[in-house]
Amino acid sequence: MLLLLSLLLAAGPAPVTGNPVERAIEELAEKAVPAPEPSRLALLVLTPGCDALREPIRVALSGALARRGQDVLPVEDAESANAEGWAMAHGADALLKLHVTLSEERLALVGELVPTRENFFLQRHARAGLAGSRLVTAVATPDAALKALVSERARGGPIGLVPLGRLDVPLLALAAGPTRLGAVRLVAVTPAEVLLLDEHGIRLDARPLSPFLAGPRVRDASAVVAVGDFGQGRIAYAVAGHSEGEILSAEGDRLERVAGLPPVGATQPIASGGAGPLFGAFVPGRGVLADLVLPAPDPAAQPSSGRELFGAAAAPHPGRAAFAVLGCDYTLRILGTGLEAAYPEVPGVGVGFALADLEGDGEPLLVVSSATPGPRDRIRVLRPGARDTALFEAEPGEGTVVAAAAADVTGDGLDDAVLATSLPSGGTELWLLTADGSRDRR
Amino acid sequence: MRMRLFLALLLMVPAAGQAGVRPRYGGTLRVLLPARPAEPHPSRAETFAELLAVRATGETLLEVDSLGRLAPALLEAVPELEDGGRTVRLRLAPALAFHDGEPLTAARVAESLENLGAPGSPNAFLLAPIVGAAAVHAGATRSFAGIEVLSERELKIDLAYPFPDFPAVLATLPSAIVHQTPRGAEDGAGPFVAVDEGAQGLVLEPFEGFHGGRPFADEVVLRGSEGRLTSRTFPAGEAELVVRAELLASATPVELPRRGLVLAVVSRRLAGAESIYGALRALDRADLARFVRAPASPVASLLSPAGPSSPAAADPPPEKLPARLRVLLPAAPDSPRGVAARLQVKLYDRGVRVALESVAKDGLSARLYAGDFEAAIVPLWLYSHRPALVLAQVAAAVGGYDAGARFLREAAEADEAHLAPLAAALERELLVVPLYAYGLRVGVAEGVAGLALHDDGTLDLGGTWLLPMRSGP
Repeated sequence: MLLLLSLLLAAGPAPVTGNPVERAIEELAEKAVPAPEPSRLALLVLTPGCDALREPIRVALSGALARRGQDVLPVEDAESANAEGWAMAHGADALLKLHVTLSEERLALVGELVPTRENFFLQRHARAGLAGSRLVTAVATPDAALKALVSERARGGPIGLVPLGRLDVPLLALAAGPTRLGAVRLVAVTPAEVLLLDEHGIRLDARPLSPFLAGPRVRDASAVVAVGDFGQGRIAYAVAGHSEGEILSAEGDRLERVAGLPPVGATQPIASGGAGPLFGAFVPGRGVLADLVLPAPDPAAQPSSGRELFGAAAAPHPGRAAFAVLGCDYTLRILGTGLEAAYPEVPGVGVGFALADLEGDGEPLLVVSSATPGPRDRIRVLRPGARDTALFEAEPGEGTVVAAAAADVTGDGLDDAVLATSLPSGGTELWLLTADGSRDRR
Repeated sequence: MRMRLFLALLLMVPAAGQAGVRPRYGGTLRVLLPARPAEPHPSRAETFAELLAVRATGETLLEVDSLGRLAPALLEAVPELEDGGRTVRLRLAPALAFHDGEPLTAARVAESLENLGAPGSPNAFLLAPIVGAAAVHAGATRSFAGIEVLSERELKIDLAYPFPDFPAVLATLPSAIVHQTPRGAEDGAGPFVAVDEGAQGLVLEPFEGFHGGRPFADEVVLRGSEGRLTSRTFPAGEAELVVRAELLASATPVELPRRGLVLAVVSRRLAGAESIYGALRALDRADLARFVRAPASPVASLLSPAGPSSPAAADPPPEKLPARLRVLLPAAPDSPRGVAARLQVKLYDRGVRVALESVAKDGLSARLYAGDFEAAIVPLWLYSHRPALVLAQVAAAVGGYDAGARFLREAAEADEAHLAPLAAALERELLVVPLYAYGLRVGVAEGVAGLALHDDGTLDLGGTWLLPMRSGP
């Protein structure tokens, strides 16, 4: 099948055929190089979750770019983390960083064209960020051969827990998801700032929180954060007792304010996933949310009951379950895309929880911490609605799981979960729960 | 920040030690205390139960953090002394309010301090360093000459002598800021509001405007653990917290810091006072401490264990012991009667017949100040562990305002090397024998979390919360 795909994609210089994938590649090349112009172009192709696609697409795109006068330099795999520096070192005029994502419905090509020639006016150097960069995209409907790759992708290995990194600060909230360029980033809210972390938990940028509201403080420090489509930015956060939340962009791995969110009491994003964002509101003066979950902001919305919520989670790849909200009675409600009850409630769930399609079968699993007080916490993976025992249960670990998020962190096409454990020392340990067999696990 | 005690685990671990759970709001916190607390009045609070009630309803300008350092409470920052330690400027945090919604301003703070320094206030000695304090305490004037309100949020306090530790006074519970309501009651600014003092105890409700955040519990009930509840069995179904001297059989208790101090005092008017004083000093205090129901340690001097030991006082000259001795002790459920009885036996062995007389707390203080007693057993709950404040509190409890004010000044002016001799001088002058220090035990029902301790051994009920098993969904 791979051979067939390679032949299909790399078959000669024919610019336009009836193959939708080829048409998408030609479209992308056309957008990247609107007019034929001889230059050296470094090309990095990232195909998270579907390694088999990388080489055929690289070959096909190289051909399409070559036809437009480009001298294409494929970036070596080992240099992918420093592709821009590699391109500059090899005298490339620009770097085309292509993210390919594949689902049963579509093949998406998202390319970022980054100038890499040393240029005083562009102020380009290896660590200057993405000034002057340009985004090019193309989409195709996958054919049978590509759909076969999707079903192949969906077979995950055994679930395991892997240490991801350690922060020296406590965490209030955690979210994960792709930026506009497709790279997965973690966003953590601490009592003092918002942190942007890479997929390994390495700190990329930070931004201080807005000031406290005048008057009484909130006793239980608490925050919500979501990665999703919020207009100009992809990150939305709010902190109980602070004057306002913010929508941030993470372009170039820098946190930039795009807009302010209304102060506590108004509805704001509390989670975001494949079914879109979920909106809720803090109870004024408290670090908990009102019993209010909405698909869109609604200033007139009233809580359904006096019940209070600790937080919400959204599945990156929803199935029957799309969202989950945890009540202050430690009972988890699992909601569908229309916010209807999708499964029976799950009691005894701790505040670290996520919905993640770890197995790739199209239905998210529940990743939950324990609601039993104690110095050690326990992470379990449960199948929603199932009465059987946990699919996975980690040995109880030191500290308490305070937050969790789901995204495809390993790039294998399957959701993973990131869990933040608050340590007695005051720091935070990040853990990756994954079915990616290439990761060392516990 | 306060010392966080996660008593459900019986371990001193930080807040992170609660697997997967976060504080939640709601529920009733029922607290059984050694004695029933009256309506809280900071300036008059002396016993543990009274101080706990003040801790729940009042708020001080400063507090003591888990490392023993001063930290801001109602103030914006810990003030620094000026003018060689004779002046301190206080700046309040913004947007503070009392329980009734009245703004908590600098003028209100000045009024509150005036109440603390007024005639009849047992804790007026704390403010004795302020210029004009003696006149306020004597009733000659209401206002301190040394307190000036500078603005809505600022005031200046001038001291009569340099006292670098004066800000520590502003962290003691009797200095909690209150104001008189139109109906004549005292209104505080602490995490809870006292709403009822009925048969079921002192009932508190959360104060939504508390500057440190709304407390978690929806209701707190403080009761004395009298009657059938004096059983040593932890009444888990009837209370979430029990503070007691005794070991609690059915709950694993946690000991509070030993901030209780029990003194024996002899009146100088007593014929043979020196001989009785000598006999009391000669008592085996370790033996005496064994008769205390609470966790207790014998105390060799007033600054032990809170500070350096004072040298042993010279033995009094031999003198014939009186044949009879009347010993006063407070009439309260938590009165040290067991120790008094042991003392009775010990003195009987020396040929002294001791008669014990229980006296109401206010009456005991009045008789001590007037010298209308032969000997007394005086329990104190120390407001602070700072030597100057310990010595002043003891001196005031035994000798009244003047003694408290004098020893506060002498301790303020003494360098560290002279504190122990000063403590010895106080014991000798006021014929005080420190007997033992004691703490209390807290029994915590299952499902109670977040309990924290303040430096003075009182509990932070505002931060205590209940798991669903305790308070329902």
